[in-house]
Amino acid sequence: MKDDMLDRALRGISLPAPSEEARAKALARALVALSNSDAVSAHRHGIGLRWILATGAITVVCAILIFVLPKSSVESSPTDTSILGQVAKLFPDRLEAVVERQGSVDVLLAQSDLPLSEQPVILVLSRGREVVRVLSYGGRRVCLRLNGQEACVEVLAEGDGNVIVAGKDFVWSKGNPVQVEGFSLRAHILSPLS
Amino acid sequence: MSFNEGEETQLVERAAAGNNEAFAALFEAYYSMINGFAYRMCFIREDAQDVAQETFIKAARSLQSFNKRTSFKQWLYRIALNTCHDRNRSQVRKERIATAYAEEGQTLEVADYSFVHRALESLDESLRLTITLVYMEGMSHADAASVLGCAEATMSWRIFMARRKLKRLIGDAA
Repeated sequence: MKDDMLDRALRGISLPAPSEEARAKALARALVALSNSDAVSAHRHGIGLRWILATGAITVVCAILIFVLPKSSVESSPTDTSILGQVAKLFPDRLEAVVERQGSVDVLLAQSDLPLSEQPVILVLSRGREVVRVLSYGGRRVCLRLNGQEACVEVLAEGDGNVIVAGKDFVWSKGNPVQVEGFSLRAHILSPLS
Repeated sequence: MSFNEGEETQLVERAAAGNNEAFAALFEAYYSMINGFAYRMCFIREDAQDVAQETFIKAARSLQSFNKRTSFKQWLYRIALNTCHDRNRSQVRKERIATAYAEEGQTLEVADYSFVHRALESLDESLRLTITLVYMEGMSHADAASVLGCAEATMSWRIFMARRKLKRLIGDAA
């Protein structure tokens, strides 16, 4: 075999394109990893290593209290809006939700285009220590596996900033909290990025 | 999407500080490249996607330790390479590749050059990596040597050896 034939053969190997879903999941998971990295957290808050060590004990106590005390508000941060926004850039018309569950992240995509929505929302479903965080948009329908069952909900963002979550046989609102497949639900809108 | 060196340095610094937009820009620029490299190393599409994903997760977790004197692209290649190494050690994976070849074209995305694939797979890993980086990823010998952590002269020797073996293997198969 001649050199130029070998070169052509080596360069001629076709590469299958990665699936769009794999690409979206990879981005979402990497962004969550970035936001969870200790170094980034410290950088964001301008915290030095010595300060982290000095306050380590307090942090541990606070972490325990977080698990023990009932939660009164939905945990969210500007990072959530940012992660949702970056994944939505890949699929502006098909992104249903970014779902974070026990450290793993999944991206839910619709098969066809979805109506335009710009109001990001967060749903937090919790049962004991199991927490499912759902980043989505008002007007989206999201289907999740909860307690072995598929639960589909419509997420509605109201003009006054409240969120309504409607399932097959329930409607959740701040004033009417209900459980979904044994999970308590909290939801609110996410602030758009400035 | 491509950046000049200064733009990339700024993006890496912003991403290391937790800026999602900057990280997403780097992801967009390099995801296909890393996925392609992973495919050339793993030969199975799903494995390549897993390696590409793992590469960016590891990069996100360790951006703070990235040495800005080296190339971000080469750093990503090294992470992908180590991730591939970990996977390739698995006996289960070797069996998967054998099964994939047996099914010819069902699991593998083998087109006209299946015999080239087979020839590459039969090379020692160090030779396969050398060929992948230089011929398929288009790296200079120096850049490939940097990714693999060896001397440039070693790369030249490996290329000579790999080409000699491939010529024989592909020549026999074609």
